[in-house]
Amino acid sequence: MHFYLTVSAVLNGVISLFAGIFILFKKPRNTAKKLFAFFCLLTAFWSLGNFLTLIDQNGLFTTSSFWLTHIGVLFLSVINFHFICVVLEIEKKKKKIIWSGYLLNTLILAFALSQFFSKNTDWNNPGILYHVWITLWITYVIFSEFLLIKFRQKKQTMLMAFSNFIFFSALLLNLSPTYEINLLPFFNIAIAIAIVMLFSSLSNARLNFFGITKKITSLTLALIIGFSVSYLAFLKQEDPFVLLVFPVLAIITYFSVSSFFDSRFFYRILRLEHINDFKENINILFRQKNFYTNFQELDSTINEIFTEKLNISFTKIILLTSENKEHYDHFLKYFEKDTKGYLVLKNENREIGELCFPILKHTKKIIGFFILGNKPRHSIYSNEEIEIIKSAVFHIGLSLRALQYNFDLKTEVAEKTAKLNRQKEELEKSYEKLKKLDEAKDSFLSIASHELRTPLTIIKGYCDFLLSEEFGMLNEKQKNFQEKIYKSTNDLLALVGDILDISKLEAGQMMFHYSIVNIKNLINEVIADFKIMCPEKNITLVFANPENLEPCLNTDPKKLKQILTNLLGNAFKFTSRSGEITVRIRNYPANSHFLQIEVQDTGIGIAEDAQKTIFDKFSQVENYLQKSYNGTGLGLSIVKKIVEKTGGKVWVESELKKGSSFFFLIPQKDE
Amino acid sequence: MNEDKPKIFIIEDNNDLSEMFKIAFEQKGFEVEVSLNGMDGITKAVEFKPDLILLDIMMPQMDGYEVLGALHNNTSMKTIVVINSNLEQEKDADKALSMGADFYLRKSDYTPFEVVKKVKEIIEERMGNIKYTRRPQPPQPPPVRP
Repeated sequence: MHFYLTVSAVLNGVISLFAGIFILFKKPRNTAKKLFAFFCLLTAFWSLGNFLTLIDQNGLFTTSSFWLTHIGVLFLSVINFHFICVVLEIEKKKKKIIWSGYLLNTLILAFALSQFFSKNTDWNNPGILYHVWITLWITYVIFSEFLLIKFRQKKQTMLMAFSNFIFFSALLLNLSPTYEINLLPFFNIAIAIAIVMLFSSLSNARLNFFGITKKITSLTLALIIGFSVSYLAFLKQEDPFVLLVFPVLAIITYFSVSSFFDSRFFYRILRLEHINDFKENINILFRQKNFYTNFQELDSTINEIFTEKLNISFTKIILLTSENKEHYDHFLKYFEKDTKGYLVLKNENREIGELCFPILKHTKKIIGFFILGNKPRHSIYSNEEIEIIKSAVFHIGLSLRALQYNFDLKTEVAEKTAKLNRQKEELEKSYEKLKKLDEAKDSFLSIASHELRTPLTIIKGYCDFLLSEEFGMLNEKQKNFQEKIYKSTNDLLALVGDILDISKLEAGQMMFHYSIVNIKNLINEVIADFKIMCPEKNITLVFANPENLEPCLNTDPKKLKQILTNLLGNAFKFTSRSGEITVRIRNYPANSHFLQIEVQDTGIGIAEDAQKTIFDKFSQVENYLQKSYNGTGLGLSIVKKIVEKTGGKVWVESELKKGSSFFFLIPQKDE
Repeated sequence: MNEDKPKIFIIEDNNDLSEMFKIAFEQKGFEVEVSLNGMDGITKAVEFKPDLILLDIMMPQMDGYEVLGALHNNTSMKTIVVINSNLEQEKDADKALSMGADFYLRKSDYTPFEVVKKVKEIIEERMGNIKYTRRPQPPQPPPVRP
């Protein structure tokens, strides 16, 4: 047992000494750090004094080791109290208590070698002063713990409270042999652990990392309880198997303690609920709404929750732009190395805020910063809060990207709409232009044909006067000449009409006026007009309607008349003397949806290759030089266009020198 | 002036055309008056009181439609109006007929004598021979009292 105690005392002493010297070596300006250094050195004094006592079998260093031990242990509780007051920034208020503590302990130290304190250096016979001192010592420890718990909101000093608790409990148990309680070597180790905990938390300036506090405390308590219980059991039973209880007990203790720390109950006791509350709020915020319509909305929502839950002055999202990039250059440089970290803003940047987190796009690119304002005095950000803030910043990044995407999308849509509008305007303009051109063309055609017709009418009129011989007789030759003039004038007039028709058809301006037409009557009317021409060439014109049908069709009578006139005109033109022309109703709407009419002649016929082009405009022109047939070849082209406009079809069947048959179909126009 | 002759009034801006129609009508025994523009035509028509007006459409200053409108709205004339134009679009004919013209003739489709013939038919159809011949009515026997 002596061996374990000796080793643990040395370990304890070395660790404390190292911590104390290390802190002093860094020349701390901070009073709290100085005090902690002294605290460590005092612990080292005590441990090393203890060590000396343990190895001093011959009583060589009895006095010096006693002094060393007492200087250490006497002042520990007061210096701890002082240290805590400085950390909590209540030093000035507790000034009297601190300094009276130092004074009282100094007085006790003065009497340390007297009979009042200890009757011998073995500590086994404590004097009256020893009891007074230990009471004072415990009072200061309890007072310190009380202050730490009381001001945990102000500065979350959880780690300090727990390490203090471990330290002093262990130390107290170390002092217990005075009251004839067996000294356990493990408590020396606990003291070392507590020193390391305090040291690390102080050097990190994070006395409030509850996660680590929780783990270290659970582990330490598990080890202490497990080891102590099994050891005590071993002492009584002296059976080494009892020591097996240790690991089991340690594990049970660890998990029960850590689950206790996780419980809501514990959070409530410590008033740490706000962290959980804050976490939940952030989760809800980003789970419910990951998409903001504008930047202000996002900024203000974040600001609202953070300022309320963290009790801070403000939060701010700064977006990096090409203009402000220079201003935040030093931030950017910092985060280049460590994009996952955050920046605690130094005094020169304090007007910007206290903490600065980078907002990342993907993993590398910084698109902005999230700045958090100052916590109220005496309060700092806890690591739990920082973890939550980090995840919130990640979500802010996502939201910003969504916003940016949304913004880009909107811009794109606006650009495209503007483009479309421009195109629409251009189209409208060109449409107007075309419409005007079309109107101009229309009126040009109309006026041109009118202007052409007027002189032709005059020629025709005077020609007719001469031919009528009402104003004097003509000789045969003169009459022949006049007739030629008259005929050509008529042809020219027909040509003007055809050209106007074809232009109208091509421009889609030909209007159709539908009505129910008696086909038989209409054909008879057309045939009557042509009958006059028959005797001239001795042509027989027949209307073949054997069953005396009277088919009716809903169509444009004028157009149907024009079709028939053109086809008959064509037949007359190409039928030689004594020929025969037949108009035949092939089919009519009673039998089918179409009216089909055939115009058959016994004329010159059309060669097979010419049949394909016969309905084209001016197709006759090619043949014009070979055979002297009058006309422009517009007639059939007009027929084809009119028939197709009604939804019908026209075609020809012909054999050279035997004759041709023109067929056309006209559909019944639906009402 | 022969009272029996039917009276034709031609409003036609083309000198050659109006002369040609004048010749044709006079040849066939009509009394003809010509006006070379619309404005003048309205005034003269009121004085002349024709049986039929042959009206052109395409005329400078005042076109046939305007003349037609003025004749119908501003005068109490109940004359037959025949539009004699070379405009052949259907809408022109429809417009003229809807404005109160009685017939629409396309000049180029007819020789002058054919126009005369057509006009004769129209007058006969519309007025009967009574007005056309303008013979004095035989005195009616006084009603016999029972």
